[in-house]
Amino acid sequence: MTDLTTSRPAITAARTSWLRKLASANKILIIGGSVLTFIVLAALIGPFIMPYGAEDTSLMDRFKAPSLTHLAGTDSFGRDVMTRVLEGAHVSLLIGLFVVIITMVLGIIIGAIAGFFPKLDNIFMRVMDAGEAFPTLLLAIALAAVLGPGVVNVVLALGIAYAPRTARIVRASVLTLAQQQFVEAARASGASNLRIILYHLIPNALAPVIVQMTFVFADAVLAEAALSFIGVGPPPPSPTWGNIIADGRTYLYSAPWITLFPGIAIFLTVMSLNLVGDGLRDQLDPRLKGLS
Amino acid sequence: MIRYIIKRILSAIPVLLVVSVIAFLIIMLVPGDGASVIAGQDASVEEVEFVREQLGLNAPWPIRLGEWVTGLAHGDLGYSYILKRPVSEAIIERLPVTLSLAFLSIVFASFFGILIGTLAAVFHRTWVDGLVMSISLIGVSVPNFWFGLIAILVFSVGLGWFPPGGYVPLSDSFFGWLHAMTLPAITLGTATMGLISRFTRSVMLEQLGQDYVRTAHAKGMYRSEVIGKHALKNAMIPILTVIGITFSLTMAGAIVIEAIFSLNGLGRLMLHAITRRDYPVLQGGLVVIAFSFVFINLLVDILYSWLDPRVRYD
Repeated sequence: MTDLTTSRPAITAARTSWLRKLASANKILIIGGSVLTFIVLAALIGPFIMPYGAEDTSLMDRFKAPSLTHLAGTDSFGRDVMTRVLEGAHVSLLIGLFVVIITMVLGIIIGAIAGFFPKLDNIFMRVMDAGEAFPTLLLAIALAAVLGPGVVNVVLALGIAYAPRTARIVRASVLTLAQQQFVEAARASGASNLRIILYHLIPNALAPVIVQMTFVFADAVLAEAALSFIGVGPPPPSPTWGNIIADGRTYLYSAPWITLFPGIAIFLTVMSLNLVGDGLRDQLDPRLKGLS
Repeated sequence: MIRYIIKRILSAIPVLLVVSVIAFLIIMLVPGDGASVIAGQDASVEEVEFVREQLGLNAPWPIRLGEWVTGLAHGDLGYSYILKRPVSEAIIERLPVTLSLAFLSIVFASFFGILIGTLAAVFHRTWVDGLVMSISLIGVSVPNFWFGLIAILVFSVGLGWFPPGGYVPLSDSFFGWLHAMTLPAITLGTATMGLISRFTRSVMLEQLGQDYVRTAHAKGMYRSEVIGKHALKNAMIPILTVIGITFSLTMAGAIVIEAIFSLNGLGRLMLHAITRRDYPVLQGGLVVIAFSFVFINLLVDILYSWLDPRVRYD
């Protein structure tokens, strides 16, 4: 997949063009976007509508099967699973968002420097090669284990783990963009390297990065769930989708609903993000249509 | 050809070196060090200091890094004071389980991924295409540990077709091994299958639009032959690269899947190392997985140059 990005022809379009293309949104984008909006709204509003608190225990109501009073049943402490899933959405979505921000900042800085300064390119890219040799999930597990459990550490671990791939994409764009005439023109008119990178190269290299970020978001939601599931994610009692499933696993046979609903939430979120990513790519970069 | 292989192997060495340094630095981030873990919770400051001295943890980090890298070059991954044995020994003991899981999962993902991806390309813009794209979207979106739990619930507890966990060594019985590994391998392979089918579809679409395919049709070749003998053969080269890349996804996923299916592999060894703060084992596991990723991709590159001689002249 790296071959695709290195061989891509130059993006000559102006900075605003990708925004304009978005205006004529396609079907996949609309479906994915609507599901995602629904999930975000449910996460924001849900906890206020639900009559239970995410950490309200009730010994009388342990292991209640899904019903009208408890839409997704209750767990071993009699806590309402639906409320916990909605509450868990906050953690998962916020972690995803912050991972995207960190990955994007790291990826753009490293990628732009590597693409613009040939002398640093080799060193930077060998480090990125090595970083990519560690599977992202594994790198995140190791970092989270070493840094200790906690939301901030999970975000840092995932953000660092996804940076190499993003840096590679930025570098590939910057390499071709740096050869373009508008860069030469900017230099001729006395622009500094920093100005060329910030105002000319990065804005033009942004479109593939934005597409990549939706996939990083999707991946981060999956990875955070996996980290929470194996116990190196954000510490309990705050519910996350991963640790609700981990709790439910003990009662998998007697109360499968505890496991079922948070999994569906993860699935819908990741699927909608993937659809948005595909849709954005079709809009912003039609040449890559259907590729992944 | 041999020149290319040598060049390619040499270019992997700096990557391996940086990989070892990264693995070292990650463990460096640990607040405090292994000494307090080994000395025990009730140890006095002097006792911890003694252990630290014994382990050579007092040496400045560049020296310890040097020792770590030279150790690696000799196949020495360090010593676990919690398992009371060399790390490499503990890893080698667990490796067959993880490799079986990874191998079967990649075989499953590649076979079905290439099959349905090809079908989608051949029946482009029909319901077959739509179905395949949906399956691949579901494959990459479903959290695999959850899928594994649901699979246990349905296929082990409900239908009783497969054991809910445990490992049968290949040397004991082939069918026992296959039977035990079927659910874990499919669970681990769902995402990879999604990626491979999508990729196969797009590569095949590109190939089927080429002139040589039209020529093959024009000279009266059967459609199945055109697809299988020409298009798929050419598409296999990039597909192979993607399969090599997904190896890393598979190894990381194995850590979680092993926990669900009670498989005593490398992943579980590493998870235990995390909970027991056995950092040498964690570090060793990281390096082994990263090295195997570099090695697999080296193999893919060499295979690639053998399949497509043009690559060698780049």
